[in-house]
Amino acid sequence: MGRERGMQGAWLWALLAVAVAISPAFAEVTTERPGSILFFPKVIASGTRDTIIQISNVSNSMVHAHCFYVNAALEFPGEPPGLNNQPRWQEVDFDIWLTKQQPTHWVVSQGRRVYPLDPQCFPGVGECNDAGLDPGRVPPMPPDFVGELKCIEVDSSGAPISGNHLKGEATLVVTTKDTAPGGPLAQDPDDVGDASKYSALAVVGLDSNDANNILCLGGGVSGDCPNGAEYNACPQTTVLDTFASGPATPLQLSASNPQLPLDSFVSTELTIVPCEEDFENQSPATVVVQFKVTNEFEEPFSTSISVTCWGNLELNDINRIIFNPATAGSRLLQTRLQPATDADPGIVVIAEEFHHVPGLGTARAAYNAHTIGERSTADVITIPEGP
Amino acid sequence: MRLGRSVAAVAAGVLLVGVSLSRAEISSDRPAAIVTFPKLIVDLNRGIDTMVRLSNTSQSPLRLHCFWVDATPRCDNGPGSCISGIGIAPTCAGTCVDNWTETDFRLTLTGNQPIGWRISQGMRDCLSTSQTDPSQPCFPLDGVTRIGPGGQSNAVSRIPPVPHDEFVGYLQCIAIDDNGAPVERNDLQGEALITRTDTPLPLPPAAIDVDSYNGVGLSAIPGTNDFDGNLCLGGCSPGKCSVTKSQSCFSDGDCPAGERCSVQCQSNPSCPRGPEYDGCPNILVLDHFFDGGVDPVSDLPVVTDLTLVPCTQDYLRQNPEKVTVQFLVFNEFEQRFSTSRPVTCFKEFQLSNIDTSFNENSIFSAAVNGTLTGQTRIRGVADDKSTHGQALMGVAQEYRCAPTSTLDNCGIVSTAAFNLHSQGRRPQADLLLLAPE
Repeated sequence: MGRERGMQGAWLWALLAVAVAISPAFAEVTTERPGSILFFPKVIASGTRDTIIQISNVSNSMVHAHCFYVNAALEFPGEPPGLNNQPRWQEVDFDIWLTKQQPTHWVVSQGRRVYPLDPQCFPGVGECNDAGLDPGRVPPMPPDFVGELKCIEVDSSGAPISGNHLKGEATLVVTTKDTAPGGPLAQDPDDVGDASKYSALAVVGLDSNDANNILCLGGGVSGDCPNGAEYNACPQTTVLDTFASGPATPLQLSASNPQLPLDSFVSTELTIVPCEEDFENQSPATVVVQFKVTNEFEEPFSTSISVTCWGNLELNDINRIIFNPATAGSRLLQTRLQPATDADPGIVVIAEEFHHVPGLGTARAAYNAHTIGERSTADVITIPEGP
Repeated sequence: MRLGRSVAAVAAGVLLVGVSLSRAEISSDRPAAIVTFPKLIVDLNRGIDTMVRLSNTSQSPLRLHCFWVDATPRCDNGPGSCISGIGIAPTCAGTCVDNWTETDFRLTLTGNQPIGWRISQGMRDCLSTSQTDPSQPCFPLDGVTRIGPGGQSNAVSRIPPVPHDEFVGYLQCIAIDDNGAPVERNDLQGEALITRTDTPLPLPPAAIDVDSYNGVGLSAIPGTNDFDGNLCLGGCSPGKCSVTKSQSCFSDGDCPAGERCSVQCQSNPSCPRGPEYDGCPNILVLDHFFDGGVDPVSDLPVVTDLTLVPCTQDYLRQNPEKVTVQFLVFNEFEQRFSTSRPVTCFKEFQLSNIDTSFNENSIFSAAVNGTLTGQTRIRGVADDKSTHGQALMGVAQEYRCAPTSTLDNCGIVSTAAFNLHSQGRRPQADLLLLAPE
């Protein structure tokens, strides 16, 4: 009995030690932290732009990741969308592995081959793109690719784990090259080399991961998620500060970037990806997204839109009235996005601003959205079962 | 025995899940009570200005106390300017002397209101501004001619311009109440947009570039703020004495004789109640192109600019904080290099100038590393003082340069700013010391 009490006491001390050890780590500077699932919502390799993916391992152990491209390009990219020209929502997956603290990168249109004799960088040699320990074979994406990339930390057998060892960035660059044979070159030579960069959204894994192929982001215990949440939940609300989108009227000149000429204007693209994804059955998730907009006069507006699998929307495509500077009556807008109901999947969002100066060119700047709260219902990512 | 173990195991599970779920969600960005913009720059002759956007994510008005910190070195014994950076050469004919000057101001954001201003111009209410000049954003709800739907306004708000042209420095904004005391409201978010034209307005530009990054937020921890001018960022949370549960402690020595404290850490006399805000990270992680590496998409060479600001700020005594910074660099072969550099108050440097002035031989150059990209772990070295944590915050900017550029002379084609990642916390608190109201 005395021994039992001793054991219970030891357990309680262990509990306390764990709680003390864990509690200081609950929140940090709210820029970016490593995680176990990386979302790159906006990936483009479409002729005039290409994307460089950077991923690194922030741990001192080897890390494996299973990555999924989702190609959301139209079946016939040059044609308008319609019943006979739907997005492909085609998934392609591959594995990477990173040694201790190893960074790696690849260009989406080129992928990365495994070739130990890739030339290294040294003075006078510019071409050293593939130098380094190759992370695995990364397939090149087709020339008209637009879509997303997800990378999930797994163990050496391919089972998902909550290591929280991955971080990443995507850089969208206006290319000098024509990635589409016979396709268009960069629209404006002055834009060539213009780059915008964002950090991948990292979902932190929890200790409750059961390592099966159903990944539960937030939520409680359910049939799919017998352990409850295995990863942190997707955000409840996403908050964006944006310029009103599009050219202003002559009476509404104060709508653009105030440092650029009067005839300049800003358009903003939002890339929205549902948190829920079924890679096993290739069934795209659909979410109705509510937008609540407040202008500088504290005047509220709202609208909604449906997004299936992947959406890249200019603000004026979402609503031609409330995001327009003439009708919004304001240079800046705060926009809150959230799924319309709890039954809708959660979303992750990336914003990219295009500062246009007619006759001169366009400057691009991507940025991560702010988020508030976490969803109470689970979002489930189902990955294909292993061998 | 088995039951005891089961109960303990279930309790452990519950505790772990409970603690785990209380952790932060997706590690993107969140509104916070303190927001810092580590790099702001104005150089109007070169067509460079920064627009700051702030917004209140709550429906209640949010009062802010903000600090411009002018970190532009002063040019002594000669004309010219000491502002420098990638694509900007100092013109000072004398000697550049480090400078650190703080200017503070207050403003109110109404419910869910976004605002934005050019830091070279500041922001006033629209009544006293020429509203026909679109380059001068103003506070729209002046409280006299216009108020918001809920009766809120921007009255008693005024943002001064930065003290001079050719400015480099940072901005920090803290949520306060009407009496000026810090409040636990995580309702503030913001972005900085650095715009470059190659000519000063109103001359028509021949090229434009815009990059943006998010303000770095520190969240208030509910129920911990003592509303004084010592703002405790992170550090050790107090525990409880083993018998006298009502007594909080940082170590056994704080408890009555024979009792144990549930935590063991060094107390900080400035933070008797422990942390009031999230702590700054133990390590900043930067993924970057090595300087001189060629972007495989644009075929343009890339260099990276890093700005670091210590988390501890003494606005009360105007004491600039000095931190020794360790840089640990890994290339794509997992080969490791390291270097260190002191940072006082604010430091902006091109990566390949951290360890040497001869960029080609730097451990941050592609030619030395042999690979295109690297990971750099940045750590402020903690000293033996318990009064501050020596942690850092920062932001990076990637420059794509003209093909004919050299490593020390980038002809800027485009820029892209991005926030750094962070890892871990440290037991020491950092402090923001404010002047009493």
